[in-house]
Amino acid sequence: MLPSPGVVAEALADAVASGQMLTNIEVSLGRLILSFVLAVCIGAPIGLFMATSRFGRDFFEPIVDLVRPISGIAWIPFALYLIGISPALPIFIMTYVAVFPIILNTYSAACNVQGVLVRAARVLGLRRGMIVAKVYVPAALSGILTGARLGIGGAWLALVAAEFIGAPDGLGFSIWYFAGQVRTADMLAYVAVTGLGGFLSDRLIRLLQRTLAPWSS
Amino acid sequence: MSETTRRLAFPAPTDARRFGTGVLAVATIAGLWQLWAHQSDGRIPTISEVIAHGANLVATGELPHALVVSIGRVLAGFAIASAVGIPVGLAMGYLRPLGRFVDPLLQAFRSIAPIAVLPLFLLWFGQGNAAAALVVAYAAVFPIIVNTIEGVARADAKLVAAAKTLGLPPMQILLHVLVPGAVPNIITGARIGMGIAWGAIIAAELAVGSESGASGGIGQLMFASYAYQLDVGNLVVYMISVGVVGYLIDRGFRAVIRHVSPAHRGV
Repeated sequence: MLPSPGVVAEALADAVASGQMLTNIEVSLGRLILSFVLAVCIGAPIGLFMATSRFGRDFFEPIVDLVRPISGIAWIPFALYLIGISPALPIFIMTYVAVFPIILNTYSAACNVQGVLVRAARVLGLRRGMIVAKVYVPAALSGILTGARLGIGGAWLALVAAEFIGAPDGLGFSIWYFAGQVRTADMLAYVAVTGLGGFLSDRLIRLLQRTLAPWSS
Repeated sequence: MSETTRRLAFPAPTDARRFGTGVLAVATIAGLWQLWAHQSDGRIPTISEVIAHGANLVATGELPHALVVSIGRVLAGFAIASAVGIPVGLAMGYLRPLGRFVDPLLQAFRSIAPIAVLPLFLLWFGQGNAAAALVVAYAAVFPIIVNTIEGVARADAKLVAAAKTLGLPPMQILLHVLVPGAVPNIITGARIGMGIAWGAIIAAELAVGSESGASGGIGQLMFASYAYQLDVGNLVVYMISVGVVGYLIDRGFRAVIRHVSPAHRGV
């Protein structure tokens, strides 16, 4: 019922030796990184816009409140209907999952920027775009990265579900492929790799946070 | 004067203007959806069609029944997660060496997605409610443990010292000092866990959807309306229902936290 760690390690070694594991990691990691970049490029500007403009906040807040409770997983069947089984599906789901923590954390971090700094920048004659770039972005950086960390964690969890149902390959697909074949040891090898991936990406962003925003706790 | 500084100078905007912008936001989304629906030659249902589907699904009892089934599974799994997670969290937070010893294990399993352990649970427990409830329990247990540990660890050292000075045995300190102090954290953990659990049950039901049609929850209905009937109107209604239930669950927990927290503030 449950293969021993030795058997799982053997299956893992086989999968690595045959190159299958590496191919799947490459495929899934590529999708994850693309989704992550998309989520930051969409989420951080929206969060900053919400924090620096009354209209931005009043406009985006209800949209985020309305859409966010619909979990990424609940989008899978609809996305399947729209896109079909393709790499675009897990990318869509993962971007969707990652974008909300990035928006909310960017927004709250940028809101906490000290009014003194903003007023000082204004007195010194900085234009609005420069105030956003030079005052809000550095202040919000830590929040953006916290959002990114939560977002990438959520994206890893979504990856397994999204690739299982909607993609022709990848780590999530492999887990369910081997589950279907009742090759539990191979399946667990892939489960372990997704877990390790989630763990490592979390540590990587924490490291990034300490390097880029050492003032954050 | 820029919008930025005006906002800082007058931090409270009028509610009417805020409401108006909110209406504009929702209207924009609705308008875009309608435009999309009309461009799609019937592939995407219009808003009125979605409402008609929703009314029909409520009238036939299909949607309420599925939601009750899914919520029941979530509650069962959530009960297991609380029964395991709170004592484990208390023990790990109170007995520091134990906490340090178990922590790497906790971190390792926390990184593994609930959906990734689902096939294993299906293999062990079959396609029924047990596997679904256990996936939920697995999803919810980690935030509960982590937040309970934090709640115990953040307890006021002065209170603990006072209790010790008054001669309370360790078990009494745990029950009368640390647990009450940790309650807001425990509820926060429960709230996060519940959010993840609600997502996990949908995924679990989608994954087993093809096998166990009749006793289906909302995830199974979603699977069926995609795979067998291809009824997009129903699919959109199911998606919205998932969002509404998730929202209501979260609001419920927030209300509980607001209710509980003031009593513990400053303790």
